[in-house]
Amino acid sequence: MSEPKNGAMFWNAVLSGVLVAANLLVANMILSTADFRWDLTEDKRFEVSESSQNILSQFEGTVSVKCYFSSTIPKRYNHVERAVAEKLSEYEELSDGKVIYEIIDPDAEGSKDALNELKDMNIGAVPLQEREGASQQKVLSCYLTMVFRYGDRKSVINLFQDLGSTLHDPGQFTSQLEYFTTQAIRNVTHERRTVGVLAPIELVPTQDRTAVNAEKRKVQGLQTLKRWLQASHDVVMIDPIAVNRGEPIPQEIDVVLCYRPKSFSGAGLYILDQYIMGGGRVAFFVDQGRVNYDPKQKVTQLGNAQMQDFDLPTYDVTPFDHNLTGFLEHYGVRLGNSFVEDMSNFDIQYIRSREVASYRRQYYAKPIYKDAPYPSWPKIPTRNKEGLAVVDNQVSKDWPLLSKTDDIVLCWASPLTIVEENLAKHGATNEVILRTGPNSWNRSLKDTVFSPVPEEWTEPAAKEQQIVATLIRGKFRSYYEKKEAPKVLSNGGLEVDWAPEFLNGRRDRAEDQGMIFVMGDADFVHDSMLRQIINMVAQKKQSRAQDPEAMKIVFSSIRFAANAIDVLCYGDDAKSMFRLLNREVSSRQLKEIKEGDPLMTKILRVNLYGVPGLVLLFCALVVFWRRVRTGAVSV
Amino acid sequence: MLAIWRKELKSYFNSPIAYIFIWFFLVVTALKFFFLRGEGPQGQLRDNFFVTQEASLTAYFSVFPIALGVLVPMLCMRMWPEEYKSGTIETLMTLPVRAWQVVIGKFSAMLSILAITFALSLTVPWSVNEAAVVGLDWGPIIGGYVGAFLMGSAYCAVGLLMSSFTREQVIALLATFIVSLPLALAGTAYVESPTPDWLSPIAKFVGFAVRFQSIERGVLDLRDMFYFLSVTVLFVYLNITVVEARRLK
Repeated sequence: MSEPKNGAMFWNAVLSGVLVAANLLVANMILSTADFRWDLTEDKRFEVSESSQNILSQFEGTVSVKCYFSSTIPKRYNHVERAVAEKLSEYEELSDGKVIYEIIDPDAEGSKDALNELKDMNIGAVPLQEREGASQQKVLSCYLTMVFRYGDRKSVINLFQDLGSTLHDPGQFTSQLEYFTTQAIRNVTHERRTVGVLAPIELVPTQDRTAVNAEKRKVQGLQTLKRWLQASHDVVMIDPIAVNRGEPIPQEIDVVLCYRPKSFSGAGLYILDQYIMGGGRVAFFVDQGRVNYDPKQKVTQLGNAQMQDFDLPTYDVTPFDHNLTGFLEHYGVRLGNSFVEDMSNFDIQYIRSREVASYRRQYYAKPIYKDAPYPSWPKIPTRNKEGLAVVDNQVSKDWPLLSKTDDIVLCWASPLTIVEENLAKHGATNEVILRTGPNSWNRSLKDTVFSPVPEEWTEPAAKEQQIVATLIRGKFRSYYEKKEAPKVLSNGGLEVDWAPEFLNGRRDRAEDQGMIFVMGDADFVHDSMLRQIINMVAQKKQSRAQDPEAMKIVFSSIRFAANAIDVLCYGDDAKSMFRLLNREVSSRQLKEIKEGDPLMTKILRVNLYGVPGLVLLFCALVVFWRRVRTGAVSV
Repeated sequence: MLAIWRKELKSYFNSPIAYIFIWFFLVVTALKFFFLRGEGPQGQLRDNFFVTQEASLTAYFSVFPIALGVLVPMLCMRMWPEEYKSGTIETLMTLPVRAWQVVIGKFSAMLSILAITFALSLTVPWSVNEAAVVGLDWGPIIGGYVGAFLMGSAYCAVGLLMSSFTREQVIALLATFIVSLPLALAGTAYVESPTPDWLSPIAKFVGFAVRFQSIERGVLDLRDMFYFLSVTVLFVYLNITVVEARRLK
């Protein structure tokens, strides 16, 4: 009788076990779709923001991320790999596997394929110095590159370049990593926008010294910005001459960057106006003039010999007659005919004097440089000794195009005034994007010399913040509303007619919400200016060419300009991305602990000998006591 | 149940096993965290604490899944075999207590040892706090210990069930290893190559180390916590069923 009972019991037990297991499995499966996570870190550093989650929900398919991280990387960057892996794990988790990642060590044995992949993508190793022993240094070639792929699209983040200024600080790095990661995912998964660059210069690389003469080179080079923009958008050139001759800007171009315009004809303005009326968005980076700060080369007679010589820069201004002032004022922004000066500024190197030098019996004039703070190159934001911004309104809180650690340097920027009554005519709104510091003022361009020599500039008593960048949004009215379209001039200066289809399609009012971004400076992202900043800092510090301080300014400036374009491309969606830039993540670094440091010894003692030792001692006592109690040992 | 818990705890501390477990756990985890270099579960490089220069215990907690997977079987191996060895199994089976009370009593004694071990390991976060410039972020530490306790309890439940199948401690130890270690390692980079592709998602679903990854950096995920609880409940329930069946027999 007992056997079948036991058998039944066994099967009952098995069945109940299977049922419990099945219930728990189903519960786990159901719960796997839920997303309840608590980030217990103080600064919520692992919480992927809503804007990133939005981007992750907007695509199907898989984004694969390959992280090429050299294992030979200097110790100071050791936190990077873990921070990236942690962040990407969050993305992988939140996207339900739509984002997958892999960490590859290009220095490992048998990683020839990885090196070939990097070579195919034109990604080179970055040489880094690492201290070896007390006095020696060695140079390591390392990779810290993330490649995002979605179908045939690709986006690359070079951590040394893109997050270079934050790499040394784990907190700052983590805070900015999400911005770059989400941006890269957006870039590969979203339809690319088209940005048209309307600039009176050809974008010839400044390095291409054979192609153009020296004078021409100075006004060329938007390569750094262009390269940056190309990571996210399709960039096309718009010929300003064609625009001035009445050739329309294709409405397929989502955003026009009107960079450092020199002279717009009436027809050119009309084209621009109609582009805005058609829903086009325009960023104006405008210079009011050019300061003659370069020495003028000349040849002088020195006895019987001729000497390569130069005249000291005059620092006077050649104004630009771009014809945009009235046009922009109509849309609500008045460009000041002055330059902003600020006590918070960049130390420039200027030619104080010259001396005669010789090389292989050839005489030449050698410039003698001097460092001086230059109020005409304002540095934004103004920071106190602790490195904190002295006022919190220099960068717009709603549209933070700069992160809290960014610093940009403007070069001879003009102040902007918001013309409220004109804004009201359009029913438009204005958001000030960037202001100078509280210790700034204006100096008229008329008959003024913008000398960097400290004795030659004076600081006025009255100072106030100046607006240097602003964003206007609204359903705009045409600049030519109730006016006739201006005449089109042909090559020979003759008036010709507009194409009838263009005139028939004329709009006096925009149907959709438009956006205009106005920046009172264009030089600040010009290749030659960025190069100057790098060189000046390097000479001042007598350090290697790419000093982190200079690179921070360069990338902040480029990022600011690229973000301005993003504002126009993505509108409010871009806004949430910029908030990522300003996530505050506290840095929890260790005190400097060297080998044999008392703190290290203390840690070793407590954790390896102290507590475990006490456990063993207690164990010995218990065993001994038990033996005593059982009479195995007599006391 | 309280009497069983007290008896088990007393028996633990009267034998060297609990001390050896605690000692091994403290030394292995501290040694790995402070002085050794290695790879994380995703194959990422993990440097020791003094090299990473960051006041974080992520790398410390990352050792827990494997350390507990290896050490908890030591704690469990004697649970049921010891009753056979000392001849107390008959007494236990005839006592006027329910099977679940016996199992829970034993299980809670193991959890107490786990709690004591974790309490003694608090010198590690204290040390990191001492070495940090602005102190330690205690949120992830609390989360890490809560997650580690849940994971530890799952290991204990597995070990307790395995030990109930045999009268020999060594066999109980081996049987627990055979179940615990694959659970610990499943889905990690250590076993990536021998895992067939079709098994990979299942391995990631059941793997303790993979489940513990969020927890070790301070993110408590309800799914992971529920999973550890599920494993605990399932194995404790199975143990109760086994004991109940044996008792009736």
